[in-house]
Amino acid sequence: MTDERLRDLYERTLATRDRDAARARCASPEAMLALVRREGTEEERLETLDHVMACDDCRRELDLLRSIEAAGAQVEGARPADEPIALWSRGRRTASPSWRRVVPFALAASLVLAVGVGVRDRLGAPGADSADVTRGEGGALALLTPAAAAYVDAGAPVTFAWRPEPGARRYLLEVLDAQGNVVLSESTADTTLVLRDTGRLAPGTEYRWWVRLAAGGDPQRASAVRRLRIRSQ
Amino acid sequence: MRRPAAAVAWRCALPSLVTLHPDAQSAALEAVVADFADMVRRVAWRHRLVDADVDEVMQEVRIRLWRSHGTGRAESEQIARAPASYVYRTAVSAALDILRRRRTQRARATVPLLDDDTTAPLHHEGRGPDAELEASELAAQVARAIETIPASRRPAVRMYLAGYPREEIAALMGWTEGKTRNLLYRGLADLRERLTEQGIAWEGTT
Repeated sequence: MTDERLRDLYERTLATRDRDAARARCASPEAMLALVRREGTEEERLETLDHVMACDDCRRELDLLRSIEAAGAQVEGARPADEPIALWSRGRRTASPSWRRVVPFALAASLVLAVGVGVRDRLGAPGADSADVTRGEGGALALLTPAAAAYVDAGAPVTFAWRPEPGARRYLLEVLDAQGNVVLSESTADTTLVLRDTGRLAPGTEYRWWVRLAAGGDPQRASAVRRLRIRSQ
Repeated sequence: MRRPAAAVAWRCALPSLVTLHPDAQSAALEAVVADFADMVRRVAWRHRLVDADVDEVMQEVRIRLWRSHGTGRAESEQIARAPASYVYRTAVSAALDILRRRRTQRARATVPLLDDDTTAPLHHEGRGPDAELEASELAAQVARAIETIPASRRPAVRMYLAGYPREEIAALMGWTEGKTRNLLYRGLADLRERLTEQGIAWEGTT
């Protein structure tokens, strides 16, 4: 048994569970919002999260609430501008704030999640060496090169390639740092792209990259995320 | 509190609805709703949510704003003075109502005569019935083993197995990186121990 196999089996447990029984225990919308906003006791939030992560319906609904909260956080703009999102998001508060005070944390969480959830890259997680495949990759846009977890020379041009998607008119390639910030982004109508401005990728650092449709085709289509490692100089 | 420059810029870019003609107010408000919907979609898209979910919420938001705006009530004034904030709060309220409705619909749903559930058991090409059976039994063992993990660690393990990165677990729960790592590693150790007790061997541990 490996972690990858364990994940496959876990997905299978979700797919084959007794949906009616699971739905009977579905978390209330208010409980899910409290989870997103970190309201209530940790015990309560853990209980909610335990069910949500075992229920496809609830997981999707939680993501919807998180998306709204993230947008709301942008509207309110309460995050200190000079503080890194990843640092700012961790361990700042524990109990029952008003929604205005929660917003920054929702923003931080969601921005981290925005990349984290979307890319399913298992960033820094145990067993991450082979963790380039994401949930739902079966129908994802297929990447060709660089290979998963490939090393590239610092400052050297990098050629990215992927398989064409029906109806796609334009693709967007994004390279993300460990905090989920987009470091490099470029669009193309082709299915190959040579990034020459790689001087912004720090030597000895690991990044993620993915491709999604920018125009034409199914706007939901995106690739899985691959790791890209910059050699130390 | 000092406001981030980006937020201030965004806010300043909003139309001042108070001074506008009612028709212009409606158009400006729609622009605010559209902007907010775009922001939600950008995050939702990364969560692999389908647009239909977001569209359903934003449509509900439009209906509520349409009902409230121009009525002369205090609410209308509130919309005009802080349209983006109001749209956000309305979106949260609308989403909660939609989720409540979905629960009611699920509760009323009857068992279909034909099972066309796309999330039904996975069947992999080239895998025979014996392998399918073995995988199903293994999955059942995993499910049972997960249930035995202490409640404080189990959600982190579930998130990890569902593909969420450790940082995301920390962000959602408000944990430090150390606490997250500790709970996750211990939870995974619990899981491996249970499975090992059931005769499942591990090729490697993390």
